[in-house]
Amino acid sequence: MKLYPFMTVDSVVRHIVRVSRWLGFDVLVSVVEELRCFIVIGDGTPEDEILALIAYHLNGVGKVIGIAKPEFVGIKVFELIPMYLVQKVGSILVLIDQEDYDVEVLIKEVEERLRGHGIAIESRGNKGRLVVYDCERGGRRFRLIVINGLDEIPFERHMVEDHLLKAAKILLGEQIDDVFSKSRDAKEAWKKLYQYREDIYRKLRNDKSF
Amino acid sequence: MKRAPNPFRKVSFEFPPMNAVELVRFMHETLKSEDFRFLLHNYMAENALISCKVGERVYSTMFAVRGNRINVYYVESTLVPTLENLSSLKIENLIGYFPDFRRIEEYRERMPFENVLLFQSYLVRMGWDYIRSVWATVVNSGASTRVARTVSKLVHENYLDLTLEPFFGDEVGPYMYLDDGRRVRVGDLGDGVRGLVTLMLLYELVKPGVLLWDDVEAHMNPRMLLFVARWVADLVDKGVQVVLSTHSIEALRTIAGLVEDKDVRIYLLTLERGVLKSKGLSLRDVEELWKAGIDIRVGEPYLL
Repeated sequence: MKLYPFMTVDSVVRHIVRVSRWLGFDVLVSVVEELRCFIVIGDGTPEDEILALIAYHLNGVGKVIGIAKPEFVGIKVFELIPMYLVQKVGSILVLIDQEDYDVEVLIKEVEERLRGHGIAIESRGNKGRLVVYDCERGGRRFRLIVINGLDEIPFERHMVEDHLLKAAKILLGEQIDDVFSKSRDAKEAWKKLYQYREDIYRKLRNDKSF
Repeated sequence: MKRAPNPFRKVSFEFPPMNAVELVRFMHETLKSEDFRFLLHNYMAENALISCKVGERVYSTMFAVRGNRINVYYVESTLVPTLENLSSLKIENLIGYFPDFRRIEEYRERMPFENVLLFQSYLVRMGWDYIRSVWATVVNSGASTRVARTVSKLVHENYLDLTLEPFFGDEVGPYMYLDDGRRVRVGDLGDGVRGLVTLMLLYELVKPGVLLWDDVEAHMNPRMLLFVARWVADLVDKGVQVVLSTHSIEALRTIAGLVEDKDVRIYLLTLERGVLKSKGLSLRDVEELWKAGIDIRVGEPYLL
């Protein structure tokens, strides 16, 4: 999988390039013939950096996915979904943080915003914090995937950093328990692990199963 | 512009006088590559077609290789012609040709064009050759004073006029004349100011109906860009049709924003395997896309 950035001057792209350079791969393309999928980054970093790693591991698939970082953050990005329904786009992946919402409330908010913009939800599938919607708008069917966080990370608010903390826990073991206990949320904990960031990313790069 | 491009039209200020297609050749020339086959995709195609649809009418210019020459046809129709239509074109559609691919034979002066001024920073030297050739008009019309004083608003100098004087020898060159009597060669100005002085003088001389300005943002800081936006808005108010090309989202937003109520259209262009694709947008579209994280400059997979 390769990524086509729709904002070349945004920090999202800089972060993807920076991580790619650290880790010695290239997941960005400058030209795309056909667009079938959009990834919408509802919050900035480290979603973008994780995206680079995922794209690297899915390199064999060969598809190009457009990435957009709207000016809106969080749940407001769902108001923009109709704008991404162009060409042959049949899948839209939205990465958002949970913020202060309860998961059920978050899902309800998402669905209300979708319906408010003329999107009919034909089916919904939940798998933890991954929600998959089959949608329809103006005769056009598409799949919308919403992802945030992991339940096993012991914070009230969940976010994409959960996945990185899980990796950090596996890699660094008990030495980071203190970081967990002294942080309010996953974002703060991940910031405290800044010095290990490159090592964790490198491990994630080198070991797909990890 | 209710016309298809006429490659044989005379351009307004180039010195020596040229046809539009000769000017394009000059601008694209690399070393001595003077062949007109640059008009054809990959220099190998047998045909090329440019069509402009205005209302219900389609105005087309077609290029066709015939032996050792390129014929150029002009046709008006209701449907966009295809290259297959070339076989049905008649002699009266022929407006000129390029014998042996290197020379121009203008068969017929047709398709009268509005008075068009093309400018880009690459043409500054050529522009000054022309300005120098009509210097008496420049000075006596007051254009040199007006331009010098206008440009003063953009720099930390107070220019009173433009002069043409020798520089350590016989050859004369253009100078900005300052309020303390000093002179600064136009060539020693910043690239942005130099380009703007040149264009403003050319505008005063040519008074075009259409201004084509390629890479409008070239060498410009944001302060100059705002000045240019105001100048362009003034031209539009005077009835001049202004066509700008840019890679700058700042330039686009600044200039289009100032003339938003003047029927401004923004076109995203991309060349894909010899086909120039375009998409018309409003400034509002551009802003909405920006909010959604889509920069139209890289938006062709989304928009085209």
